[in-house]
Amino acid sequence: MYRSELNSPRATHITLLLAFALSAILFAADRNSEGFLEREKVGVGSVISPILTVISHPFRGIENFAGQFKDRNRALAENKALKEELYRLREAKERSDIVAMKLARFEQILGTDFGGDVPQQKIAARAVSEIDGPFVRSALINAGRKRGVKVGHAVMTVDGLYGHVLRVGSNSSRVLRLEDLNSRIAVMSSESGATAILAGDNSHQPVLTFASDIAEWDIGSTVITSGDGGVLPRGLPIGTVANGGPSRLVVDLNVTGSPIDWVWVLPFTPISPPEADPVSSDGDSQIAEAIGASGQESP
Amino acid sequence: MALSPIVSSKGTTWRGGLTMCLLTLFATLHINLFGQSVALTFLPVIGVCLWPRFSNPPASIVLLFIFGLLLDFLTFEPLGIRSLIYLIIFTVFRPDLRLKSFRFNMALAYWIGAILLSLILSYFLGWLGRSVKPEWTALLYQGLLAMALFPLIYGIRHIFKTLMKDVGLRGF
Repeated sequence: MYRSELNSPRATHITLLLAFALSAILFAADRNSEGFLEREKVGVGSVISPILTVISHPFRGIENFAGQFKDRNRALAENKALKEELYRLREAKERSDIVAMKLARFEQILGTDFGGDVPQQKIAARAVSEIDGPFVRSALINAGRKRGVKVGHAVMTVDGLYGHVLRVGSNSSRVLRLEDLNSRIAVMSSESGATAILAGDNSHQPVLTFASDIAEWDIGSTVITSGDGGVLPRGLPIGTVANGGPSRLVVDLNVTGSPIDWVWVLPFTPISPPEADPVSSDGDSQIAEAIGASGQESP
Repeated sequence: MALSPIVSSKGTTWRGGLTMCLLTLFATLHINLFGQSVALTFLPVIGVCLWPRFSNPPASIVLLFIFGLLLDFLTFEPLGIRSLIYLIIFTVFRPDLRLKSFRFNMALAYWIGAILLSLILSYFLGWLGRSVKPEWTALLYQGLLAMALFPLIYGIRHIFKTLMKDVGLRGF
């Protein structure tokens, strides 16, 4: 049997050197440029996501089986607690309905409608690949531009906020999880209303930074999105405050520990800055008229 | 074209490629069992370690480069880091120069060596690529997990070898 010159040690060495050089060039280019080959990365994700969806099916089955096994063990205790909660919630719901009715009436009287921040429409998707690596905490979901997903949209699970969309392809999207080093989310305490920034640090417990008043953050208080910055809707549940050491508060995420299969993308439209949302000429004349009218009325 | 006698490499390189392709896809999956996350990012290193002996070296290098890059694309890790790791492991362990077919103990020793090397490379290249020290506990956990999975992969390989005829000639 024979081999050609293409299979010779010389050819091997040349190929090896070229491969090393190309890898090093790509590594250096990626390090110095943030958006390097971004379109290609999204494209590869779009192509591979249907394959990963198929491959992940058996694993999701194993996860669900393990989850059921775990759930059955605590079913009795949970059942009792849930019944008690149900009785309490029934009463709370009745009160909430009355308050909602009053609020709607007041809004009608005042001629205002604040509406709800959290959008009603949701885009269901499957998390086909989740990266829990030492460098990145992200996930690939099998919904993209074709289904209305856009960069910045919040991604939820049944337990709470999971992350936000970082990059969008035609059929897939890359989600930056809350734990990722680059994740920064404006949050608030649902009890005290204190605000902070939730900063990921590649651990399972992101840190609360820039807290408005650290004394207002109690251990165990619920953390939700504050809506500050207008990027994410207000009121999405995130987790609970935990002690992360001396004068350091961390958050136990609601999504940690549970298998991530289905997720919901919330198509929230962020608030545009005035430069990107100019008033039309009609609007200008209306404002001018309004100013003129108020000027005439004043003494 | 000059020709030199050698054992045939025909039909073995694709096996390495196919193994790498499957392991790369599995490496991007994430499993959560009983509240513990199972990440298999180091799984493809098995493919580099058990690369067929009689494969075509230039083609093997190209395939390793491509699959390393593919994993970087899919995992959003610094581009080129996996290619560099695979190529270094391939250069150090040189599966094409292996004289004998692997026995389990030998393969396990190779595997542990390759994992340790890839852990060290991942740490320092990741640090260089991201300018932030990687979380070493996550690296160690993934490395240990990959080591624990080795007997399973070796077993599957053994079954595959048994099913294929003339394994000695094909060099797998």
